[in-house]
This record gives sequence, structure tokens and C-alpha cells, in this order.
Amino acid sequence: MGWLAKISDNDRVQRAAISCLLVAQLTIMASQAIPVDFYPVTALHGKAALTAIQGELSHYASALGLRQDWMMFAPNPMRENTFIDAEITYRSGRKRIWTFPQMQELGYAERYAKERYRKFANERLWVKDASFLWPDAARYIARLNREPSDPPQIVKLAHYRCIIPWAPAPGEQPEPERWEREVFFTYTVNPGDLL
Amino acid sequence: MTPRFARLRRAIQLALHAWNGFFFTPQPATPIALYRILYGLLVITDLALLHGDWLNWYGVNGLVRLDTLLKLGPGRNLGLFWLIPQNDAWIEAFFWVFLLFAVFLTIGFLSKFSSVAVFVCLSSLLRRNAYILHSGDTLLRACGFFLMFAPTGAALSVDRLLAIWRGKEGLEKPLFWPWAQRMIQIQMSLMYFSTFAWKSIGSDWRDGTALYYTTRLVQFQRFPMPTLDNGIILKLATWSALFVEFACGVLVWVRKLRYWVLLAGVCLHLSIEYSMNIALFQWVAMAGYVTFIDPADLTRTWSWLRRRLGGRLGVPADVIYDGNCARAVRQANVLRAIDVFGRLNILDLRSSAVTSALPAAPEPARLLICRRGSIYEGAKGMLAISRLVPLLWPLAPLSLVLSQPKQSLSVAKAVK
Repeated sequence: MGWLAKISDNDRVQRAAISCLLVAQLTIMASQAIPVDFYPVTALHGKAALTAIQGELSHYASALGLRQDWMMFAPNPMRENTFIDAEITYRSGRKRIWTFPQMQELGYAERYAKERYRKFANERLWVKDASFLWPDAARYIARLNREPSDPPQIVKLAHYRCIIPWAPAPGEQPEPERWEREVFFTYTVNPGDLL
Repeated sequence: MTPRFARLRRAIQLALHAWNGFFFTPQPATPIALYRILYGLLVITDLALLHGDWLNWYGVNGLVRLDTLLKLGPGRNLGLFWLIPQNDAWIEAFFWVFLLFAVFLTIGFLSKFSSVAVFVCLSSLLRRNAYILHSGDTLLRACGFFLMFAPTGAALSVDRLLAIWRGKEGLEKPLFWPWAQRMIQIQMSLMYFSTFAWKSIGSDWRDGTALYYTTRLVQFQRFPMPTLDNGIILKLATWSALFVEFACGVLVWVRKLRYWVLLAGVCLHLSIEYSMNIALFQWVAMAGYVTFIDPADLTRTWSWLRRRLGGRLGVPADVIYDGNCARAVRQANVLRAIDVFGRLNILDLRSSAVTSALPAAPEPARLLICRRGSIYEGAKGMLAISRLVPLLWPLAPLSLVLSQPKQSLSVAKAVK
């Protein structure tokens, strides 16, 4: 498609056509990039209009594979540390805890390569909207921990969270970490899941 | 015509002129070609990082199964994963084909097709498993879309060398409309402006405490960092990050400030890369800065590098070709194109400087290489100049063993 950048003799028509596409693309990009609560938008009473435009254009952006949002640590960064683990109960009644790779426990190179596990587990998996992912994840964990003589029977996915406390005042002791655990999915393993 | 209408018409004309000037003023393809190389290297790195877990993410029995996605919507677009048979061997093969096209894109071989293939593959990863993707993937895809429309193979590419070799292109650098490159620039600045806009909504960024939390997210921590407890330092660090994002989104368009803004952006990204474990995003963002560099500045920088580094590669060599032989002319042109450090004096055999220096005419269609008083030809000639031309460096070790001169003659001196 590089020919579209070639300068042609009869370039007015070509330039006009390209310009129309650019305007459309710029509109799609800009509508996604600007948050509806951004001060200039609300000051101009444009929140409803921008929301409507975003709703209309996001389908096109998704179809092109160009949907984008840039909420990196925004509007506010997370205020809690989280991780996901799985409690696996075997047929014998034995229990074992399995965790997704924890970045802080890996070497520098390895944590760079495994960063997507943090994204998947800590940001996406435990969210209720992603509940359709839970059986697959439980099956995957069961397969990973299978033992022919003592197969896994139950997998419980649990979400751990610990609020980051504000820095203590000079002379005061920092607050101790308080981890909360919530089992968000329990899966009974079928024999077919382990094949 | 009323004065109001005339003013409106004038304003529209000015806007159209500015639009045309921005998107359609011809310029060399070097910046976008340089970006293509960086982009390709980043895709290769991304794939290398993914390789160990490829089947965990995309395999038949991976963490997100295909049939689970199909249950969400039967007509769901799954990209190439919809086309390939669902077994792990094919999914592995997809990885290697993707990698192959990423390598092709990097070296600029079949550039147009490779850029489309890489974008389609990146989109397929999004459609198959969006739950592991981060901002770096989004930026790669967004910029990759425009790269498909750019003249990526027109410079610094195997395609360009092949075109020169086939006689389809000369050595002069063709000019292109830079609209695709401009769209990548706009995409970059929109990304920064958007992240600034999102953060400006958040109270933690406004009151200057956001970095207190980001530096305490243990899953993101990378190399050791001093704790940000001091109120003033914390606020300065938070607000400066916010300001640099604003600058990269808005002030980068002010020509006089551009390089300073980009420098600030590099500092921001390197500091994040040091302190936080966010794979590849910083490098994807910094690679985009290349598209903001003025081609004239790129040329000036390269000339400076040539002067500084060229001399260290060794004494120049004379390359003599038969100007009446089409094949030899093409070979000479290819050598001119790859002689990026200017270490070759490429001369026509029929030029007076050469006829007076050479005792006998060389065989047609063979290049003669004169270096350090010796004459080489054919493959041995290529070995003899392999240390002078970066693209031939892989041959350099062979030159120590195999390169024997055809004859010894102080031609090099005579030619000059």
C-alpha cells in the first residue's frame, strides 16, 4: 500500500481521497483519546456529545483493531497490591497452593518476559466481567498440577489484596500489611479436563 | 463578495494550504524507514518474550480457549486464528510465520506485504487473547496500521537494494508524501495527550501523590529505587511526569521546542523503564520519536557519524567497474548504496584516472577492488572490503582467511 504515498501526476484527486480518509481516522482516534470527564469537555458541555460519538465510532475502531485507551495509572493509580492464587484439592484430600508467576519473585529478565501473567491474573482474571475466563483458567491450573495417581478434584481461585497505607508520620511505625483473601471461583474438575 | 465571505474563503484556503503542506509536502523516506527497522526489532523482541508462553496464551488448551471466546459471540472476529486449524502445531507455525514477516519488515524485504502481514498478525493476537495485552501492544498496532501505507521499503531496505540491482531505481533518493508518517506522529502525540487528560481527572495526580502509590505496587517494581516519601520531591516527580506527558502531546509540535521535548520524553521513559517492570512499552514509545526527526537533521547526524566513525574502519578502497557493462554498473550502484560510511571510491574503468593507472582492462562484468596496493576481484573483492561496509561485516572473518589479491599494484594511490 506504499503506492498511496507515491506522488502522482494527477494528484489532486488522490490527495482529496486520502484527506477524506485521514479526517475520518483522525476523528476516530481523537474521540477515543479524549476522556469525557476531561475539564475542557465538561466546561464546554460536550460530555453527552463526546459520549455519543465515542459509542458510534468505537465499533469502527474495534473492527480495524485500532481501539485504544491510554488510562495508564489513570485517573488514579491502583492503591492496592494484588495477586491471584489457586487452591487445588486432590482426590486424596491433599491441598496445594499454586500462584500465577509473581513478578517480584522472579529474576529481572524473567519478570520482563512473564509480565503478561501479571496483566492477565492481577488486572483481568478476577474481575467479574471476565467471569467467562474462570473455567478455562481453573482447567489450565488443574492440568498443570495433574498427578495420575492423585488427580486434582477442586480448584478454587482466590484474589488477594492489600491496601497501600500512606507513609507514617516521622517517628511513627508504618502500618502492618493486611491482606484480604476472597475466593471468587470454585471449579470441580472433570476427568476430561486433565487430558 | 462580502468582506465576511472573503475572510472565510481566505481562512479555508489557509487551512487547506496548511493541511496540504503538513500531509503532502514530499520528503525522503529515511525517517519512516528508520522507524520501520526499530518497529520490526520491537515486534521481534515482543515475539521472543512471548515465545516461552505462546501455547499458554494462544494454544488449544491455553488459559483462554477459542471455544470460550466463540461462546461470547458466534460471529466474533478472531483474525487468523479463525482460519488456521485448531491444533497446537498450527498455532506454533503461526508464531514462526509471524516472526518471519517481522524479520522481513525489519530488513525491508517485501516491505509492503510484510507490513500488512505484521499488522494482521498483531490484530489476530488482540482478537484471540486481548486479556494479556498492554499499552505497548496497542501502540504497536496503532502505529503499525499507518506503517502499512508508508513507503517503508523506499530506503534502508533490501527492497531498495533489489530495485537498484534490477535497474528500476537509481541512487537518488525519491521523495514521498509523508501523510502516513504524520499520522504516526499524531498517534504518538494523541497518546501522550490522552494519558495527560486521563491523569488530570485523577485527584492523586493533581495533588502530586500518584507516584507514592505507583512506586509501591510490588508487582511493577524492577530495579531498586529510593522510596518517595518526601512530600516536595514526591510532588515534583508526579507533576513533572504529568508535564512531560503534556509536552510530548502538545509542545512537541512547536518546532523550536521539539528536540527538548523529545529529550524530556526519553528521560521519562528511561526512568520508568528502570523503575517499573512494564515490558516494551517505553521502547515502543521512544521508537516513535524517530518520526519526529527532520530528515535534514537525520542527514546531518549521519554525516557527523560518518566523519567520526568512518575513519576507524580502515583505509578506503577503490572499486573499479566497467561503465559499459550494465551488470557492473548495477553492482557498482548497489555498492554505492550500501557504502554508508563512504569508504569506497567507486570509479568507472573508462575514467581518465583509472585508464592511466591500470595496466590492463579487467574482464567485463567483474569489479576490481584496489586496497592497500593490492587488487582483488569477484567474491574476494567483496571480502577485501567487508570491513569497510557494515552490511558486509558478516563476511569480515572470512576475509582474514580467504582474501588473496589478484595482483599487487599501487593502483589505489595512482587512481587518486
